[in-house]
Amino acid sequence: MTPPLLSLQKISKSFGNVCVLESIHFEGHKGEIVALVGENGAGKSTLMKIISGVWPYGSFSGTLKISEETVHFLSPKDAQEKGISIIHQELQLIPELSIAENIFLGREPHQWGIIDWKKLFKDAQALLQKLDLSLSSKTAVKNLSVGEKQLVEIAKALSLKSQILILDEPTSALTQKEIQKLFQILRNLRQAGVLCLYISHKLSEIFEISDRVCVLRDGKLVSSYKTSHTTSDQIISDMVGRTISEIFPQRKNSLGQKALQVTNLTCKDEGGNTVLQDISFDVHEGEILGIAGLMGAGRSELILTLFGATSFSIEGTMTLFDRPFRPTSPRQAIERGLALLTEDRKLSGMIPQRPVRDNMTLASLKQFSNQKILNAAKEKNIVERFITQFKIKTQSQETKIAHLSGGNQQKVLLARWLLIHPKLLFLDEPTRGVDVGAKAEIYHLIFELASRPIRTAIILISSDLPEVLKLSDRIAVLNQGRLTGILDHTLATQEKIMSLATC
Amino acid sequence: MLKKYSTLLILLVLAVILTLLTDGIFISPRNLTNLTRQISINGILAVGMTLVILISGIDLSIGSVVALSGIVVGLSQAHWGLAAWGVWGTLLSTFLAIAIGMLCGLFNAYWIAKHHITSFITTLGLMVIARGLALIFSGGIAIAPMSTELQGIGNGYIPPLASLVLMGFILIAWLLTLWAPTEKMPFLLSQKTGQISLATLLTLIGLLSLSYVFFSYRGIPIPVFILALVAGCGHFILNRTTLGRYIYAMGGNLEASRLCGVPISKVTFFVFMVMGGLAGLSGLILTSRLNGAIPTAGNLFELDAIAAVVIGGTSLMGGIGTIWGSILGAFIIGTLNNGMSLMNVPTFYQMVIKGFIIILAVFFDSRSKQKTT
Repeated sequence: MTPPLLSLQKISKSFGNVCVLESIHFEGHKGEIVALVGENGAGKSTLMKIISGVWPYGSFSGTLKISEETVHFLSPKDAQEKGISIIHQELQLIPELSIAENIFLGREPHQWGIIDWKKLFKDAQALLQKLDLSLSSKTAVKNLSVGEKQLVEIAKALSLKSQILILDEPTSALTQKEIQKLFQILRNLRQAGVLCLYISHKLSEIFEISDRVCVLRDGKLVSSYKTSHTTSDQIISDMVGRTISEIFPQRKNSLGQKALQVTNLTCKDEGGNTVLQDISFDVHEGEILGIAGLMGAGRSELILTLFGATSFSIEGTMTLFDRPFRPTSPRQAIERGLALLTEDRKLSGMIPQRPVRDNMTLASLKQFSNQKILNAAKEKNIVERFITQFKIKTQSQETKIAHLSGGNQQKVLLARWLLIHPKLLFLDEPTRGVDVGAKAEIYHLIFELASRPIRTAIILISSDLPEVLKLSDRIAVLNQGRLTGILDHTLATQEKIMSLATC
Repeated sequence: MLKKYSTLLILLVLAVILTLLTDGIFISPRNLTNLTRQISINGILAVGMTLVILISGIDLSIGSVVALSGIVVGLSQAHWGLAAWGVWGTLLSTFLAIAIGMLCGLFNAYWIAKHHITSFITTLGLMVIARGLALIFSGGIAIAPMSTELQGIGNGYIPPLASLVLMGFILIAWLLTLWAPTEKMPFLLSQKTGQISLATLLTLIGLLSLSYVFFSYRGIPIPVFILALVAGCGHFILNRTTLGRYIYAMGGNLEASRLCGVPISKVTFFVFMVMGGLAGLSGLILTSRLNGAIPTAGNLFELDAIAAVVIGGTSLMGGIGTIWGSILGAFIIGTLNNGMSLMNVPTFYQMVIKGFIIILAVFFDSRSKQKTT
């Protein structure tokens, strides 16, 4: 057996008193794709940050070896020089620069300090060709789709002659086609002897692409399987430490009064382009209406418009509980009992440097104040209740929300909106980047909301088709700003949805 | 621990060094009383600037607004005859100064909130406009004199005995806020550890030593009393009101705040108008102290206020910071000025040293923060 390319021995790390990694042993060989799974907060990201030099030598204990040589990385640059590249969940490209400039950022070919533009674009073009990308290397990155950006990151890793490539949830924003392309490239890299560490929450992908699966739980490496010798049930139960017989709970829905009626809604943006065209649908109390469609089909635009958060010009009529409704601002929407859990926690959800408490109550401060003066004791009690009820893992309410794991952040934000007792709740990708355990908890919460006695009307957007199918009572499919069909959940299948979404 | 108290530590180290270098003159009640008076204007401006920077804005116009409102005070006293009206004239001049300041704030907020012009540009514009107006209204010359009542605002004291009583009241009021009747731990002691917390201890020591300083000289200078009121209100707004939450939220993530129904425009108007009003108040105090309004007064006041806020640990990106931090920042700058004057360092050299110290203070602060995270 050849010596391992990457070897971790007794890696441990703690933040203060909290131990996030405990004595991790791991070996990875050339030409291997290893999937790394675990709930949010299990320590995956920390481990990857140690391998890629983000956490420098000395900030953790244990040994890190590459080709049997012990290495001490002091910065990500050191790791890069040893052939380790990491592709982050949040892409780190500079939108205004061209593909070529991004690929060779900081390493531009030059002579006497003057950039050799010809060589720069030529080399970049060669890399793109290798990845089978038909783009000019002069294209500005801001004009690319998320999938294309991901591939540019991979091209960058290739240009660094990486022998170890770390991918942190690379497919969370990709279409099916782009995912297949990515997988093809990963297979080619495997052929070329690269070790890929693949972090993902999507088990189906892991079974498709990986050779080995390692499961992390509470900072420990609990199991490692050959992918062909295990099952997804096994992996899930390893991840959460208990068997999940049913992630999706059963539910009997009982529809109430009509909550929202949208008739012939057409929206144009400031440039006069039609974003949404002639959309009509309704949703009842206690109903979950799923909205499916590809990226760019106008799903988020639709609910943002209904929430009063866009500057589109609106035509059409809307009624909320049989009273006319014209969205003008989020503030007005909230007053009418609407709530919106946004797609992107970082961009439009959290106030990162503020405590969990402030984040949770921001939309409902009226309840905790008298004449605009806060009632701290009342607020503290209610926040405490939600932390217990939602099983939010945080040191205290005063902890900055940025210090929580993704799943826990999402629960805080969900609590924020439940605090206003919404009559109509919009959920935009509520489980994106959330682990299986937290996912199941979020599903239960959604169902609880939709059932008696609360009976909130829920509009749910998700790119995860099985999720939409399992949760929704009806599914509306959007395609390029038009509503191409509404399917009842008893009749809907993935194929039907996809054909409506792409026709 | 070091992280939380690094600013205070810098101040204490400075104070010890200056005491040693000046053979104890620095620590005398007379000098310390003067020091608090010297920092009061910058302190008042720093309170407003804290709010502005918390919503990730900046206000460069306040130095000019100080001058403009000072000129209006001067005109109202010397030319429009309010000097003859005694206390009522003083009140009216005070009202005018604050109104002019708030009007300037309204102007800033209008462009920022309604037309989305960045605060840097808007307030840079008003900085030039207000200075120009101050020169126009005054004809480019100083305006004097003020009534004795108005001079009292900048130069007067609350008598020592009354000061002592007042400090007693503040002490009791502060202790009352710490007292939570439902909790079982005795007064002053933390619930968790059963010990007196460092913050409580430091505040207690601070209040007691200030009481001693004021009592053994001539009492609390009136501008210092005003500063304490302003800072107290600022602290209350930031920590105990929905408005305070909105201010922190907006600086932390504007888009998220908007989607949570935070009234962005209203908060912006509030913050900039408060800042303007405080600049007007500062203009009044300055004019009163100098017994004359000077159109070139207040030059670079905005930079001192920004420096105080930043030294006090407020992030220029918004969302992080406290009023007490900014007051400490104002104390650090004031202590430097005061100490160097005592040591007869020439003014030009003072500027160079001050600039370096500002950078070092922030450097030290950010280093200590990095280490703990």
